[in-house]
Amino acid sequence: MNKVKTIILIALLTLFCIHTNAVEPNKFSIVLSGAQNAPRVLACKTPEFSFHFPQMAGNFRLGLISGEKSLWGDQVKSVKLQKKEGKLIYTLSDDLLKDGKVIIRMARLTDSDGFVMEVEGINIPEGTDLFWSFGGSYAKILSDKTKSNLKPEYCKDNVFSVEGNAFTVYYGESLDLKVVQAVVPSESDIRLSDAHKQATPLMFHQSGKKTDAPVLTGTNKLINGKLYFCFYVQNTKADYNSFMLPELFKKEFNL
Amino acid sequence: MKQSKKYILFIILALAGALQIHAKIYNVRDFGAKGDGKSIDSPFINQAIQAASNEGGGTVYIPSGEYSCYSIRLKSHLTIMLESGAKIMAAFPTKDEGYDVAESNEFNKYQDFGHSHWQNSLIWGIGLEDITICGSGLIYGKGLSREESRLPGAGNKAISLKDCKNVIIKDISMLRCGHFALLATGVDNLSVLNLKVDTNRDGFDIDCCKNVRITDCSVNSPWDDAIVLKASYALGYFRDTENVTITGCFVSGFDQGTAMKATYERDEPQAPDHAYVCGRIKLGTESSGGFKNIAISNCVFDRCRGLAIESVDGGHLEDVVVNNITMRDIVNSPIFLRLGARMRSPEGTPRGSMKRVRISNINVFNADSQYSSIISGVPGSIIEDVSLSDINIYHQGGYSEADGKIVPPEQEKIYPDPLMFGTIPASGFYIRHAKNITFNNINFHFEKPDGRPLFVINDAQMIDYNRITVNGIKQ
Repeated sequence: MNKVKTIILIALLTLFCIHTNAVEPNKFSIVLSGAQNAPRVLACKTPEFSFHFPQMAGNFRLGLISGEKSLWGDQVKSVKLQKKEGKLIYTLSDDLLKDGKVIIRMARLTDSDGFVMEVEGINIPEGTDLFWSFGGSYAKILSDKTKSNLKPEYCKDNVFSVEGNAFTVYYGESLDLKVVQAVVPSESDIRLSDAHKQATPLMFHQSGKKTDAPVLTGTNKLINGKLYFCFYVQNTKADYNSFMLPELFKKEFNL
Repeated sequence: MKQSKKYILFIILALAGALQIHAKIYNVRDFGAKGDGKSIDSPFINQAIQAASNEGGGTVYIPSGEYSCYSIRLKSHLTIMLESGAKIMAAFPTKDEGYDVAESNEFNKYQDFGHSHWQNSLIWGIGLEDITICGSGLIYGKGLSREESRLPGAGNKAISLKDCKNVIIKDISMLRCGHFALLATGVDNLSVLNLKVDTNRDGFDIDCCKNVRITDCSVNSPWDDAIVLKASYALGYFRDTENVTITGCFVSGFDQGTAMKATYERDEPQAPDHAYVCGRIKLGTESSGGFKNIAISNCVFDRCRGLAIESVDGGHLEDVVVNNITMRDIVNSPIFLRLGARMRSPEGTPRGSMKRVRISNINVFNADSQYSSIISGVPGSIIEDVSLSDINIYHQGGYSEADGKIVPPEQEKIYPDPLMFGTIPASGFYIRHAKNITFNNINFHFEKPDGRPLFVINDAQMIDYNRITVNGIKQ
C-alpha cells in the first residue's frame, strides 16, 4: 500500500514539474497589430505584449505590487479578456486588490507600429502600485513569435534613454541601429534592472543595473483613475508627449 | 581741516554712488522669479535680462534656489551670475508651454537638426557680444531632449550661441543637457573655463569658431563626444574653426550622472550607437569648413573612446598639435586620423585635406585592440605630414595572424568611426592613403599576444620609423 502511495506521489510530483516547467504553448497568440503571418504586436491572455518590426523589438509586461507582495499579470486570481479588432480589454481582480479591479484597455496605433494603453483603477486599496517592464529588444526575427518572452539573451546591449516619463530604446548593431519609443505615466519610478532576476516584479525592480541584460522597470501609484502608456516607432505623424496620450487613446479606441 | 574732511567724505560718497551705478545688479527675485522648483521662472529671468539690456547691460543675479525654466534669451553686454546653490532647471514641455520654436534654416540638410537651430534651447543668444555666464551654480537640463522629437516646444540644448563674440562661460556645472551642453556656432573670442559637465549627449560643440580657450574643464559624456570642434555649414557659408586651445581637461565616459556625484560608475558599457561609451575629444565630424591652428594639451581621457581627428566634408585640417595626453581604458582606436569624402556640404564642394598634424607625449593604458590606431585617407585624398613621437600604448591584444590579412573596406562616404573598418589588420597602426608620416619612439605593449603585424601600410609613401619597441624589445 505504501508502495502504491509512493508511486502516486511521484507521478503527481512529476506531472506538477512538467506543468510548471513547460513553456506555455503559443503564449503570445493574440495579434493586436499586423497580420497573423506577419504580426507587429502580439498579446497574451494576460497583460504581456511583444513587438516584432519584424525583428523582436521588445517585451512589455505588467504586474502589481503591494508592500512586500508582488504579482505578475499572469499570476493574479482572475484576468478576463475581451477582444475586438485592434483592441483588447483586460479586467484584473485579485486578493491584493481586495474589492477593487484594474481595467486595461488598449488599441493599436493608426500612424505607427505600437499601441496606446489606458490603465484604469477602480476601488484600488491604498499602497498598491502598478509595475511594468520593457526590454528584450533582440533585433532578430524570432522563429516562433508566439514564444517572445523577456529572455536575458534578448537584452544584451539594449540602451535606454530615459527623459522624464518617456524613453527611447536603441537596439541592434552599429551602422544598423533600430529604435523604439515609449511614453509611460508621469511620476513613474523608472530604473535600469536585470533581466536575470524576474522572479517577482518587486525583485525585478530592485535588481539593479549591474547586468549584461539591461531592462527598464517602473512603478506607478495605482490610482482610482487612469494612467496611460504608448509604445511606437517615431515618424512625422507619430511623435508623442504624455499630455497627448488621453486624446490619442480616445481617438484610437473610438471612444 | 573740517573743510577738508567734508571734502574727502563727499568724494568717497560720490565714488560709492558712481560704483553702484556701474555695478548695477538685476536680481531675478526682484522681477518675480520664485526659485521654488515648481513655478516657471524664465519669464521673470527674461524680464531681468531685458531690464539690464535697456540700461546698456549689467549683471543678472540668480540667487540660490531652483528655477524651472523654458527658454532664457540672452542679450549683449550681460553677465548671468549663478550663485552657489542656484539651479536653472529645464522644465518639461507641456501642452501649453515649452521652449522657443526652432527657427528656420535653409541650410539644415548639411548637418543634424541639433546643429542647425539655436532658439529651441534653455539659454540662447544670436548676434550678441560681451556675454558672461558664471558662478558656482548648476544648469540642469532635465526637461531637454537628446532624442529626435520635432514637437513644437521641445528643447534640446542647454546653452546655444550663434554669431556672437566675446563670450566667457566659467565655473558653472552642467548636468544632463540634451543634445548639447554648449553649442557655439560662429562664436569668436570664446572662453570656456573650469566647467564641470556630466551629460547625456555631446558636451561642448565648438562649430565655426575663432579664438577659443577651453581650459580646466571636466566633461563626462558616455553617450557622445565630450569636447568636439566642428566646422559645419549651419551658418550657410564655409567658416573654419581656428586658433583653439583645449588645455587641462578631463574627458570620460562613466555612467551618466556618476561623474557629477563623484562615484564614477562603470556598469553601463554601451552608448546608443552601440560602439561602446564615447566621451572623447574629437575634431569633426561636421567638417564643411576646416580646422586650423588647434592645440590640445595636458588632457586626461578615462573609460572612453580615443582621440579622433577627422575631416570628411571638404574641410582643410592643418596645423594641429596634440601633446601631453594620458588615456586609460580606451574602447576603440587610441589615435584615429581620417580624411574622408562623406561630403555633407553643398554640391560641388571639393574634397578636403589633412596635413601638419603633430602628436607627441601620449600614454595609453588598456586600449581595445580590434581597431588599433588608424591613419586613413581615401583614394585620391591623402593625409600628409604627420608626426607621432614619444607614444606608449598598452593594448589588450588577442588578435590572430589571420586577422592580419583583412583588407578593410574604404568606406569613403560613411560616417567616420573606427568601427566602420571592422577589425583592423595591424596591431599597432594601420596607415592607408597617406604620405610623409613619421613615427619616433613608439612603444607598444600587448596584454595578450597579437598575431597581426605591428604596422600595415597600404597606398602610403615616406613612412619613417625611429625606435619602435614591442613589450620593451626594439623592433
